[in-house]
This record gives sequence, C-alpha cells and structure tokens, in this order.
Amino acid sequence: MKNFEFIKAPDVKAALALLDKEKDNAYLVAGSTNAMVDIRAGKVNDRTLIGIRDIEALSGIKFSRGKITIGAGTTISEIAESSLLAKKAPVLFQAANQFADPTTRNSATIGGNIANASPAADTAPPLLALKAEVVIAKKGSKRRVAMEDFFLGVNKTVLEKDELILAIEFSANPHSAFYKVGLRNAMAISVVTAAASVRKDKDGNITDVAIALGSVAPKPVRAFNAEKAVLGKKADEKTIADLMKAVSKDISPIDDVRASAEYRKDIAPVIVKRVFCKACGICPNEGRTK
Amino acid sequence: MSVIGKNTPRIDGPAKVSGKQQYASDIIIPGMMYAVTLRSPYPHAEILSIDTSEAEAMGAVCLTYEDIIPVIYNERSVSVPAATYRDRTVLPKKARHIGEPIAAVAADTEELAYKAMQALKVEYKVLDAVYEPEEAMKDGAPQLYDKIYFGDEEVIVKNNIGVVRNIDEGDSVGGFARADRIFEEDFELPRIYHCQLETKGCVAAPDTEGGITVWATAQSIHGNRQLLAQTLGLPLSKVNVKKITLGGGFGSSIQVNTVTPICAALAMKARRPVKLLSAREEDFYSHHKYPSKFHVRIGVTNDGVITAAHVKALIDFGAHQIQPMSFMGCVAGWFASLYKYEGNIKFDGVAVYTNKTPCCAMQGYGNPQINFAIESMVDIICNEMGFDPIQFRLKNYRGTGEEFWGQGPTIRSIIKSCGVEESLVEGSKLMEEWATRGKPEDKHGDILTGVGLARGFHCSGTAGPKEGEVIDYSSALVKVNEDGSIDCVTPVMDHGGGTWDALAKILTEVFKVPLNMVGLSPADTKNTGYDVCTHATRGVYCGGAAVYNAAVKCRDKLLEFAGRVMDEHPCHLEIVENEELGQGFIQVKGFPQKGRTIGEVAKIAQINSWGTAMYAESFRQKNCPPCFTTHFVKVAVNTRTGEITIPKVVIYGDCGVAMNPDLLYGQLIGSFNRGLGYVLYENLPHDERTGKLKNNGLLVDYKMPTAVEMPKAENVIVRHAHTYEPTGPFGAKGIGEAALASVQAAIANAIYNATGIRFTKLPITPEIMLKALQEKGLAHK
Ligand SMILES: Cc1cc2nc3c(=O)[nH]c(=O)nc-3n(C[C@H](O)[C@H](O)[C@H](O)COP(=O)(O)OP(=O)(O)OC[C@H]3O[C@@H](n4cnc5c(N)ncnc54)[C@H](O)[C@@H]3O)c2cc1C
Repeated sequence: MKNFEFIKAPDVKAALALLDKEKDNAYLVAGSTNAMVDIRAGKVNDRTLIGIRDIEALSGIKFSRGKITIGAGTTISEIAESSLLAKKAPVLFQAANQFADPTTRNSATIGGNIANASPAADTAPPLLALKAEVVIAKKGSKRRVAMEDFFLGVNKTVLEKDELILAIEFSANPHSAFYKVGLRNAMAISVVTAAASVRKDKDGNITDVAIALGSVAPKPVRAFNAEKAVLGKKADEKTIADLMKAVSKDISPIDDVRASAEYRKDIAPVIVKRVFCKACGICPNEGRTK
Repeated sequence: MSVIGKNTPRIDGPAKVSGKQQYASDIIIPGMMYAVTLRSPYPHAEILSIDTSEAEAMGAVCLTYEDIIPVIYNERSVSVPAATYRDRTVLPKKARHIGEPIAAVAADTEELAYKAMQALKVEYKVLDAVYEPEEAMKDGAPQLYDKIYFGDEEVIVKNNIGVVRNIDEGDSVGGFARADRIFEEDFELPRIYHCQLETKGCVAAPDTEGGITVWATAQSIHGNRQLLAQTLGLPLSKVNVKKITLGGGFGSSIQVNTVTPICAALAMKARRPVKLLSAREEDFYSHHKYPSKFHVRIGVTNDGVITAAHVKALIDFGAHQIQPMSFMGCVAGWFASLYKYEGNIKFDGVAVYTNKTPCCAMQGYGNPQINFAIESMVDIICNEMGFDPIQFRLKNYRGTGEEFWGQGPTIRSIIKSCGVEESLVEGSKLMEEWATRGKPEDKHGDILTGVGLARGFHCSGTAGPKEGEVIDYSSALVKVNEDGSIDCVTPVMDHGGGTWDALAKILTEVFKVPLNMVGLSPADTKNTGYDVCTHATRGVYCGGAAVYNAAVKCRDKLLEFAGRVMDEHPCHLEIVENEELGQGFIQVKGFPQKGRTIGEVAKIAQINSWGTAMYAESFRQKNCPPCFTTHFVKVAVNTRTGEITIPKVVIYGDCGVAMNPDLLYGQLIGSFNRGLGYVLYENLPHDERTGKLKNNGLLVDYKMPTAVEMPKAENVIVRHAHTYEPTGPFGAKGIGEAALASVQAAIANAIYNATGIRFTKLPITPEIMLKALQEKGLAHK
C-alpha cells in the first residue's frame, strides 16, 4: 500500500556507502520494529530503506578488560539471554527482559532502540546509568559520543543523515539495576523507567553513582540532583529520603494517553528508590506482590 | 464411550494452530478487486458532494450514497421488526461519528484502491458535535437525527433521545416503605472495544444470474442475507451467504457489519468479486461496548431481606441504534433476575445519541454493567449492615422454581437447574483467604490485600415458553450415510468457543458413533433453514437443541428402516455403542444377539430404494435457563504506585453438563482475563475537541491484560457446579457470557476489602487507585 525502495547492505562498508549516496532519502532498518510502524503511518513513503539486520560485524556482545562492547545490531533477545550481562551489567539485562515481548525482542535491536530516541526507549536509562559511549561511523570517519549527549529530544539524536551506529561501549558494573512501570507487564510502553549504577568504597560510602529515568521528559534523562543527594554518603534511610526528594527536580513529565504528569511525579521517586536500593544490594523494604 | 462431558481435542484445532483454517479474509477469487473505505474525519458533518471522477480515472469503481438503495435499516435483526428502531443506510448523507464510512472504492490492487480513495473529493459542511449524553439531551444541543423509524412508524427524535424504556413491577413504593434501610449509589462503566482477533471483513462475488455470494465476518449468516437482499433489492434466493469460520466475536458481529453491505454493493456495481477488509484502526471505530451510568436504590430490612430496587440507567449508544431498546430491556431483566426484591422492581432507562462510534452487544449485553452495580451494592449492604455476604445472597437470590427474565421483560421462564448454592459455599472453601479476609480498617503495610465475592449469570439463548421481542430458533439437517457416518448441515455459528464441537458431540450421543464419524457440512443460507444468530450464549443450548431434535427424528427414521431389515417393530430397537465396529449398533433392546450396524441399515435402505435416513427441521427452545457464575478474587494493592495485582481467583461456573470441560474452563479463564481488562485497564476516551479516540484506534494505546497479568496458573482455581439442565441437550446450558458477568464486582469488592475504598466507576487504573489512596491518607512513599 505504501511505496519505498529496499536495499539490503551486505556489510558496514556497503551500508556507509549507501548512506552517503542516498543522504536525506536514506532510512536505515535493523529489526524494523519501529520502521514497520513508521511505514504504516506513511512516514517512509518514497524513501530508500537500507537493511542492516544481517550485517554480522554489527552484532554481538564482547567483554575485554572491564569494557563491554555491544554491536548496534545486537537483538534485545541476545541481551536478555546474556549471562555475561546478567553478571556485569544487570541494569541492561533487566531492561532487556522487560522489553516488549519475546517475539518483538527477537527482532528489535539496541542500536534501533537508541537511534529511534523515544523518551520511553527501555535501553536508554540503563545505558545512561552505565555512562555508555555510542560509536558512530560515516563514510571515511568515526566518532564517539557520550550517551548523555546523544539524545536531543523526542525522536531526535545527534546522528547525521549519513551516519550509522556501530556499537555501544561501557564499563561493567555489577551494582546496577533497572525498573519499569508500564500499563501492563508485557508489551507496554513505559510510564516511568529508572536505572541506577553505583560504586562504593569499603566503608560503604558511595563513590560513584549514575541514575537515569525514562518517560519523564522529552528524552531519557540523567537524574543529576538525585545523584548529588547520595554521592559520598552511605545508603541509609536519610540518604534514601533525600534521594527521593531530589528526583522531582530532575524530571519534567507531561500528560499523555498513558498517564498524567502528576502520576509520573508521584511514582518516579518510588521507582528511583527501588533501583537505587537494588543497585546498592539493600532491600528497599517494599516489593512487588507478584 | 460417550464423549459428552469429556475432554476431547478440538476438531478444528489442527487447522487453527497450523494456520490452515480459512476465514473470510482468506477467500480469494480470480478477478477479485480490493476495496477501501473513505471514513469521516469529522464527528458530525453533512456531505454536500463527493467527486469520484479522479478516482474513476485511475480505474477504480466508486460507491457513494448516490449509488445505494436508500433502505433505512437496523443491522441487528435479532429483535422482532416491531421492536426495532431503524436509522441508517448503507452509506450516509451525513457523517455522525469519526470513522464512519462515507464512500468506498474498489480497484485491481489494494494499493491502487488506497490511492483512489485518497483521490475522492468530499465537500463537507462541518456541524457541531456532542459527545456526552447529558449534553446531548439539553435543548439546543446538536441534533444527530430529525426522524427515525420504530417498526414501520416514523418517530421524531427530540433532544437526541433514542429510546426511553420504563419497567415497573410489583409495588416498589410499598417495598421501599417496608425497608429498614435504603442504599443509594451511582455507577459508571466506560466504553471499551471488543478487540476480537478477526477484524470485520467481507468478500462478495456477483454471479451470472444476477445474484451474489458472500463470505463475511458474521455471527449469523441469515441475518446477513436478509439485510443484503434488502439493500441490494434482490430476492432472498439470489443472495447466498456462506458459513465460514469466525475469528472471534464477543458480540461485534451480532449485527451485519457496516462493511458488508458496502462490499456487496460495490461488487454489484463493479460486476466483479470484491474484498473489503477493515484495518484494526478502522475496526476500532466500528463498534464499542455500551458505556453505562446507573443510579441504584435498594431497600433492605434489618433481617436481611431486599424489599425493593430501583435502577435508573443512562446509556450513551453513539451514532446509530444497534438496539439500545433491547439492551435496556435486558439490563432490566438481568437486574430483576439477580435477587427477589419481593417482586418490587422499577427500571427507568434512557438511551441517547452522541457523535461517537455506535455501541453494540459485547459479551453480556449489559449484564457485566448492571451486575457490577448490583453486586457492588450487595457488598455495600453487607458491610454496612453486618450481613454475611454468602448468607445474604443465599437468602435473596433467584434460584430453582423462580422466574428468570432471559431477554428482558418479554422472555420469562422458570429456573430448573441452579448451582448458585454449591458455587457460593464450595467456592468460599476453595478461596481459603475468604474466611480470614478481615476488615479494611485492620489492614496495614504498603501492600494491602483483600478478598471479594460476586455472583452473576447469563441467559442460555433467548427462547421461552411464549414468543416475545426476540426471535429465537435454529435449524438443522441430519442424515445417516451408508457407512454409518453422520452429516449435519446447520447455519449455527461458532465464535471460537467450541460450539461446533458441542454440536458434533450431540450427534455422536444420539447415534452412538465415535466423534470422527460425524461431520458438520459446509453450510450457507441457501441450503439451511433460518438460525437467528449465535448470540446470547445460545449456541449449545438452542443451536444444539435444533441439532438434537433433527438427529432424534432422523434416528427414528433409521430405526423404522432397521425394523424392516430385522423384522422387528422399531419401538423394540435401540442404538448402542460398539467400539469394535466403530459405529452405532442397532439391536433389539437389551439383546445384542440380534442387531445390525447403522451403516448396514442405511445401505440396505438405499439398495432397496427405501430412501435416506435424514431429517431437517427448525426448532425453538421453550425455556431460557440461566447459567450461573461466582467469582472469589484476591487482590493486592500497592500503596506506593497504585498498581493492583490478582494473586488468586476462584471461578465457579454452572453450565449444566459441560460438553467439553476444557473448553468450559477456557471460557471461564479467558473471560476472567477480559474482566480484568474491563475493571483495571480498558477505556476509550474521546478527545472533546476533535471527536477522535484518544488512542487513535491504535492497539499500542489500548492496553488489555495479557497472560502475565493473570494469577499464576496454580492460583486460578476453576470448578463447575454439578447440575443437569432438564431442558438442554444432554443436560447442557450455556456459559460464554455468564463467564464475565461477576468478574467486575468481585474485583472491586476485593479492592474495597483491601483498602476501604469503594470504586463505583471503572476502570480503576493505578493512577486512579493511587489518587484515591492519597485522598484517604493510605499512600506510601
Ligand atoms: C510491538 C512493539 C513493542 C515494543 N515494545 C518496546 C518496549 O517495550 N520498549 C522499547 O524501548 N521499545 C519498544 N518498541 C520499539 C522498538 O521495538 C524498539 O525501539 C527497537 O529497539 C527498535 O529496534 P529495531 O532494530 O527494530 O529498529 P528499526 O525499526 O529497524 O529502526 C528504528 C530506527 O533506528 C534507526 N536505526 C536502526 N539501526 C540503526 C543504526 N545501527 N544506526 C543508526 N540508526 C539506526 C532506523 O533508521 C530507525 O529510524 C516496541 C515496538 C513494537 C512494534
């Protein structure tokens, strides 16, 4: 019913060449789980789809010297099943396991998830909490962008028309956790998500922390005020209370079909508390009943 | 071994799981065109002109209001014509809701049809729209209609009031006067969407004799045929609607779907086969469940007797009447039949036109709505007056020997089988937490748990000892083949709940043959007698009874042949099972020494030119037995986020003899899931500025619960009551719609037990829950 061209790129070089040639007309497709929706909505008419799903070099999870590299074409399923990530970056592992449903996870890629730049993208808060870097290439050059600088707004990123995400890189951190609230437990766009990673010294003081939230602002955000409230402190009751108070300064939620801004403001501190406590390895004195 | 009451694999299972089952959308005919509808972007607008020239230049065939026969009809033909309001045509001169089909085009490819549709030029005169019934009834509100028809009579519409229905029985004034306490409450239930798997579609193929053959998403092939003949101006004998598997209904195709007459008219105009399928986004604007507002008053004595009840109903039914008249009659009937009220009941219903999607039946036809109100009221009464909720119900409910209104005030029969007591008493034991549930004020912590109870029912069909407002009968032809296998031709539809399996089982029991020796033949409107529709939980009880009746008469004919073969009087013969022979065996009663297989008898009858043992007839049930359900639900409310989960549920169903217990359990569990959606998730709010659905017809913003929102499998406890319906085929009644009736109130009552908060408006989303907890000072951080 809709018109477009489709070219499958055999390798990264071919993909970059095609991007260079097609420029504004190019539309990359990896797992196509966002692309199909766009096609249906008539947003892709007369464009050239460049298929990168089968490019082997874009896929896989590697670990070396404390650094984890995930190819942009790695599927959410691969992440959700990775025992390496379960141990070294539970925050991302957990997010992948709450992502959509198994069939969608089989197609959806991590590169597509961040490139699409939905405020509700489930892998974005974990990657922000892990202080990841995005490795980007175009014909003839490469660059690295900090996750924090990657998102510009709703469906907007720093990616140029002719650029391709190659991979995402970050340092392992077993002390990290993710939590998602959606309108149901599967196949739901998130209402609020939160991710946290912490490092502590031997006395239990927090020496490094990153907290991020999804669906509470035009783009996935770091919660700098919340981080400040806990940095250098012990994860005790007072710190947690301060943390919850600070969260409201980090977010600017809106009303949408899924939830009101007010509800998001009400639950964001609760969710942040949960992930922070989980990352610190302490029981948040509250749990799900299921 | 009899297969009645046994679990047997679904006959259509392999075809369905392997994707080989054919639905209307799978029909492909050489030379077929594809059609697309143009749908109104305005909630209310006059259509001044439609310019089709550009689309036609592209090779498309176009259909507008100028091409159709302006028959004014109601697409739901279940009620008798004299009790039916009519207000619509195949295509309108005036759009009355967003998404209403305005015109249609057919072309060689779907893509071309789509482009041609975009090339249609419509001149609209946009009118003010009205969305809320209270607003619509005000003087000066935008008027959807000037006049409509009731039966053959012209009716002037005032203040958008479509139907007023008042019912007054007994002496409610006296009943309330006798009450020691009177309880009063308002309830509100949202618009929701059927979300049946198969979106509405149709394939229509004109033939060379001026007739047409149609495959449509339908719950009644005869209903479709009648309307198509009318709107195409053809004799019924020239319209053939084929029975084909339906991909789920929930009531969405009780009426003839809007796209069906459009598709047929396009095909006739194009003189070529045409396929018209609805996209999900279009289907979302096609039909909804009736949103309902009730004001309920109930009088009770200090010793726990309900003395009177009064329900006022306000129904927003959208832009067309698909029978709010019978809907309100049914609501009154469900309400009247739940408890005895000493016979003093009053119902005042008003149903109002609004510029929204038309509402039609959806699992329960008002029953889940009014049940939520009454069963919540019963909980309020028990809590306030200190009655035991089970004893109070047992004291007041309508059971065996009492009158049941099966389909509004005109269809009444006596209840002859009833599992209410068993369900309440045994159910409360299975839900161990029931006894220890405590009171809301005693509960503490950030997760509050509670247990709730509600009971309900639905009718099994709409027949009764006397004819009433509704048509109810079915037809079947049964014949015995020369090898002892059985054919049956019947127009009865299956929504996916297993009706056809049940029909096959009824045949096996009459002829004592194994399941693989019976087959349902392809059927259509030309080779079958009338069947009203598979609705009102009537498939097995009424459709099955028609098959049973024809089968028994066919068997009598076969025994007559057997008498001739065996030199015996037929009254001395019986059919018994014979596993070794793999078919029914006719013997002298009690004496297997003298006998023949039914196949041998049929063969000899054929060779001797006596004829085929066959029988065709239509049959009406003379009762409308209620099928009962009871739900005990445990909830857990998270006081930090407002999230509500269901750790456990006990479901009791009473369908008489269960033809296939697994399928019964599937209905009960599936319906619990749907109820969960109705109470906690689903709603279809409209944007007041544009008249659009806020989800834009997209599933992504219409969340229904999935399997993971259900309690763990081991905590879904399902039982069926030990009852036998004497008037049903082999003791069976229905279950489908009953399975939803009491889910809503049970969950809401459990939430009350957990939190002390009484919700009288659905849905109860986490956001609404959290707000209520905050207002009560129960929210945690
Ligand atoms: C049913 C369903 C459920 C969903 N549930 C969730 C959910 O729970 N959580 C969630 O976060 N998302 C969800 N999504 C959205 C979607 O699945 C994700 O965003 C997914 O990760 C996108 O990946 P993809 O490979 O399918 O992307 P595609 O659709 O192939 O591409 C998405 C966008 O990214 C661009 N792109 C893809 N790869 C690259 C690359 N390597 N470099 C540069 N640009 C690139 C494309 O051009 C396009 O603009 C859901 C979608 C569907 C259809």
